[in-house]
Amino acid sequence: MKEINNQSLVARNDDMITGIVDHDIMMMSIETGMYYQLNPTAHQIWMLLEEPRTIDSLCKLLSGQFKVVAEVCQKDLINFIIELEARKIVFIR
Amino acid sequence: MSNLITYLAYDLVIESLIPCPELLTIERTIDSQVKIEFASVPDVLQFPRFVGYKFEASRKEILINTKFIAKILVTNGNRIAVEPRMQANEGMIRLLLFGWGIGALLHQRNILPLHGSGITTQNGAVIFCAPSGTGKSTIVSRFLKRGYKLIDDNIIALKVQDKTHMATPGYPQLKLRRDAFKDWEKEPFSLNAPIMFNDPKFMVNVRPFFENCAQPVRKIYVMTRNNATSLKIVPLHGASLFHALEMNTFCKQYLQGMGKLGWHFNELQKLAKNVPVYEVNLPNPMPSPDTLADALEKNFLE
Repeated sequence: MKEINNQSLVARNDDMITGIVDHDIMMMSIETGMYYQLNPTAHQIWMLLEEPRTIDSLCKLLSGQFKVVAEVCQKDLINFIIELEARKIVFIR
Repeated sequence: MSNLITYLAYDLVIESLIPCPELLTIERTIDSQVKIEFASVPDVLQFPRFVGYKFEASRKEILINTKFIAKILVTNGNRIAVEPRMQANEGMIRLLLFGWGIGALLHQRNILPLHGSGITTQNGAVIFCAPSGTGKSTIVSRFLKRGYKLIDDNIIALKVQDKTHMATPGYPQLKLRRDAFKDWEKEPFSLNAPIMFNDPKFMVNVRPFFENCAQPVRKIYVMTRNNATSLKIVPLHGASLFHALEMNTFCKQYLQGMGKLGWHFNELQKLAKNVPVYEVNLPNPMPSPDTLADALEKNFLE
């Protein structure tokens, strides 16, 4: 499994399109036709990835917006990014 | 050219060399938009973008290939070529043509088709989506008896006009079990042959009960058999609404090969914003068709 650390760079897969119905955020892969639903936190992370960012940078921005301790944020974020990558929603370098 | 007949269905003028008695005929005064003919059809596409179960799809062509009925090639949203298989039943060929064939054509023409039946009410069109066998045609037959008009029994072709979603009438036929029409008294429709021998449903002509004009869609009902304890009609929102519409899109299987997944996603969002969608939870055992029709009627007349 790929090693991810604070300096890993995360980028969106541009084949994903998003839409909103009522307050739910839907996402779809144009390549696979798979649909996903993002909760508000996931949506926030997606929005922050408008340009590629490191895990470190994402953590700093998220802890500014959410009440979370840096270590917890980093662990949760890395786990989440790994899940996104497994579904080809983001790429990691 | 003497065999060429002009039909109107789903707001499309169709010229066909294949006789289609279930469709409405019109005078050939305007240019046709679609041509249907017998022709030889290849077994495979030269450059398919997606190969699926009994079909292949690319941006401009969809090939439907069944072993015992026909091969059908739908091109550019304006041509359907049909090559029947040896000794294939004509009624089955037309079922395939006006099912998967027309589904392919509508997608090629950027018209979103829903898999459902539609009727016209005092407020506009109401649509019932359900998997085959749930009983939507039977419910529709109850509504026709109550004076409502049929838009279509299988495919609701949606056109957007001035930001309103309009349901365009298809053709006046219902697919019903014999017991579903036994209490119609002297209604002037004729029965056609049973369509499948081990699934004894009949194609029933309902011309006097047919809607002739496109209607604004007011409500969509998605019928679900989920062993609920009682019949419940529940408004859907957000992701569940979106999911219900996505599940009930007709002939979704073609979208990936056509490169239209993004288009579909956007069309679903527009529809979700425009039309209220309700989930109809059907209990086990199913209520009688008239009980179900009562509950739905109460809801769509609100």
